[in-house]
Amino acid sequence: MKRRTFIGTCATALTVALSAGGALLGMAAAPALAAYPERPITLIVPWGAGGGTDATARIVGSLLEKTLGQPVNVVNRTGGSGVVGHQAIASSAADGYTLGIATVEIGMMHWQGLTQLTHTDYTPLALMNEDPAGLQVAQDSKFASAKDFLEAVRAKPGSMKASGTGQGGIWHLALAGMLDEADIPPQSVPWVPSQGAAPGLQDLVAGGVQVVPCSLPEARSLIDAGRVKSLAIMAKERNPLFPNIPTLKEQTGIDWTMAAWRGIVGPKGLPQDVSDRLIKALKEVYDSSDFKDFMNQRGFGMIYASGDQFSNFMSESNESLGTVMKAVGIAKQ
Amino acid sequence: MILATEMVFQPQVLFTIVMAALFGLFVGAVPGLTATMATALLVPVTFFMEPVPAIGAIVTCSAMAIFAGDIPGTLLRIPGTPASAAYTDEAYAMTRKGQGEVALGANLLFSALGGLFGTAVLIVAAPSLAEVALKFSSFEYFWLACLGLTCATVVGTGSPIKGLVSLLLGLFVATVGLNNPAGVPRFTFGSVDLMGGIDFIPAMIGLFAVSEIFRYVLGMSPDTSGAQTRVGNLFTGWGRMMKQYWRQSIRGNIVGTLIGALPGAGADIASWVSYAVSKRLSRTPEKFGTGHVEGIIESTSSNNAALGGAWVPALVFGIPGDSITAIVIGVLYLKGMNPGPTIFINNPQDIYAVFLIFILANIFMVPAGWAAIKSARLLMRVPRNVLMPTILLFCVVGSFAINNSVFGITIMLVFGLLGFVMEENGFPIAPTILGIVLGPMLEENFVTSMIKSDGSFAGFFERPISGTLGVLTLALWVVPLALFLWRKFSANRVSPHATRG
Amino acid sequence: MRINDAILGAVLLAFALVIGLYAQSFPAIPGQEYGASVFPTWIAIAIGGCSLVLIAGGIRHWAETGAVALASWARSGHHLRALAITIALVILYILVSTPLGFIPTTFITLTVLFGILGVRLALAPVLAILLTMAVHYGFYSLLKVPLPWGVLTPWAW
Repeated sequence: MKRRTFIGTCATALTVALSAGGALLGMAAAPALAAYPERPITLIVPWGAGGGTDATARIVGSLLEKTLGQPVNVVNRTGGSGVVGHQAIASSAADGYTLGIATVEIGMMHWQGLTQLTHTDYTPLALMNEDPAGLQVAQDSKFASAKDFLEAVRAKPGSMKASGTGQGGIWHLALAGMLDEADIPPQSVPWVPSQGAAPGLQDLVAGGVQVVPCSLPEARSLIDAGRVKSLAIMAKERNPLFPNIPTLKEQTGIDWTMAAWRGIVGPKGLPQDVSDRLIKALKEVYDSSDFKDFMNQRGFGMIYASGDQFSNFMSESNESLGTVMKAVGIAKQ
Repeated sequence: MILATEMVFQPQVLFTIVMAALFGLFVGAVPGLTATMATALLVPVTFFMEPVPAIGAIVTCSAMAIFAGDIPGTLLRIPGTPASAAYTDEAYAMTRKGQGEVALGANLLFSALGGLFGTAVLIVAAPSLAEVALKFSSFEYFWLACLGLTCATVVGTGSPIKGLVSLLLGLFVATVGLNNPAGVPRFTFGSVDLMGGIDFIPAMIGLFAVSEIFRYVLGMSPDTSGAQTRVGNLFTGWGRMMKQYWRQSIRGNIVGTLIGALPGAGADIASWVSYAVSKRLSRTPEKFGTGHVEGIIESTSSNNAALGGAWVPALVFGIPGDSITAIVIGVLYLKGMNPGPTIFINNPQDIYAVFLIFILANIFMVPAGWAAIKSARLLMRVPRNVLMPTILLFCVVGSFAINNSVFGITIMLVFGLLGFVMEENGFPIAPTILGIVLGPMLEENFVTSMIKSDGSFAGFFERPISGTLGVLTLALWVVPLALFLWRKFSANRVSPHATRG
Repeated sequence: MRINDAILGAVLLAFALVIGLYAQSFPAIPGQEYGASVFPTWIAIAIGGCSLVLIAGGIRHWAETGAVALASWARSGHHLRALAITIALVILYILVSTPLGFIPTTFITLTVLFGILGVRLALAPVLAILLTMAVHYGFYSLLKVPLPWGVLTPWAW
């Protein structure tokens, strides 16, 4: 009897709580305009814990914490080839307390029709890293240079397979763009989708595929192990950590570059004073020896651009990716 | 080696290990929190640590969590981690028979032994075993996934057709999202969250834990709080079990280490395979499912051995053996212990220190696990009307933490309801989990293999390892069916009426 | 509550048809002979096959079991209401935990849940607040899980 009435009370209480929750929605967004930042900052990472983007975000976060004097919490929001996390960054409150690390995929997914999001949905803060694609083959491969490889493709299209990301992923585009630039149909090297560079490289060693166009830091442990060799990198200059690996242009004359990049962004419409403060802090982070040591040790490339420069950079990356995706037939018409 | 010993036996390092052990036991024992999640949650904590305690914390924590997942599985029929799901029903059946302490004792002993075996293999054979694992291409993985699916039919009890439906539902769930070889959204209905797919951890939490909570709320849980909370002497029968089941233990260890060493397959799958192997090769398969310790011993050995095995390709080539080592590799890089064969040459003291921690963690598991089981017994005395809401809270927080999103809680709730309806109608829920885990592996490896072989099925039999696995799989499917038909046929001839009913 | 296999089979068959047909709308991928629709189609066919077996079996046993065999809880209004409230509480949590914050939402949810499960009224809120704060400390402070602050944002630590 007593229990029965209690359940009734609970049902009422629940209804009240539900409506109270709705009413409180408005209150939560109350802005506080004291000196920014006055409470912890969240940094959203669209990729998993332990990966390269995660590591970059964590080092930036920890150094930013020192510079800004507020905790910076790195939060992983994974899935959907980065769509979920990028969406989370874009739709967070534009108050400077939620930032994110955007990656090259922001210039890719909208072409595929996966999302409406583009780089214009963010406030660009600072570009921190860029890793160009390499052309990796197994150590015992008969190819000694990128030129050999291209000739072999031209001579026998479809005989070699490539892997290293999912269908339409960044390294797929790097390879397709290179072939397109060399006047070889991009479908001449069929793409074998994989869950990232590591499984692709494993398949390269196991003999399942013949080329993996991922970045050098991703291939590093297998290069060091003497299982994989890199023929060329798709960059303007050689990588100081791998001075023996020539650029694609040096070897073949093909002027094609492609790189994965990572930069710190906020949701669109960040207040000017907040973004100024953040850009200043991120520049300090970028210039610190802690950051440089960390990036060198992982073999990650460093590049800096902020504000409008970063915006232009993203816009160029977006255009070039769009061109390749249309050439390969991945872009949605 | 001496250097390594010095590195490990420092108060600060040992303290870290003990704390990580307690954390791992807690995470494993609490339904809703899993070993992989524990490792991911440790990443920020280890970010500023020295390399050896940082890696040590992860090693210890994951080993403890995989063992501790057995505790709630045995006492409440809610597996603490996916790796315990294969034998949860069996262990709970033992509890209901009043043999909870035998089951938990077996879990503890054989988990520790399995962990030590996996470690030994890692130390002695890492480079050569990694060599074998590297030979596996998508053709081989496809057959492995098929073999894994076969386990569902062996493990499941009750109606085989309902087991199959459950498995298929799991396979369907795995197709949701963007994460497929074609990279196109499937069954997402425009939802960004669904593009990310349905993570199997919140799904597992829902199927096992939340459905059990619903049953409790409806007054359906058998009350095991009285007589069954007496855990008694854990060491009961250790000697006897060692003597009687040493073959199962060794087989579990070997299978576990091998599956662990294969990139992409970890403790979860190892535990299923071992349970199925155990049932198939047992002299008394009819006892399986009724509270029989044999299968538990084999698969609990296996899932802990897999942890060590997973480190083999991770250390030697920087290729993850399971979801835990996928995170570990990132931490190794972070700490300047770049994986690769050179890790054994450049910083041997670091790597020996890690090995040493592996051994310590598995030895420490015995007293720590004993304490955990004893305190779990105390917890079981907590009235159920307090315990169950608490478990629900952990389920909610755990489902949230998997991707820091309330979408995980939605998945949990939906699968909680699904699990409840399925159990009510005699559909086993464990095969669904297996389907979700193996679905992507099956599809991806099939599609990529077909691309590589230019659409020819011959590729699945041309490579030596792949051919062997293929023949084995087909034999496993065809032989029992043929035997069944033959028996039915001959029985029909001898006594046409005997098979009716 | 045991539902006759024939009914469950029919539901599964409908489900299989829906996913099977929907899968046909997935785009073909250049360079992939086995595209996005292949696996969902196979799964749909397999589920459809199983559902037919279930329907056949269910009809055979219809006379013994009837359409639905109600379990004891299904006739107990008290138990059904308790289940409905439990589910409602989880839905409440999903909807309001972000705007309202982890601490208030969890406190309310737990108090109500303790209440319907028969924990003493005086004890329920005390237990709820203790548990809430313990979990918050463990996950937010120690493990850095970003549990939302919601309305308590100005006092966040």
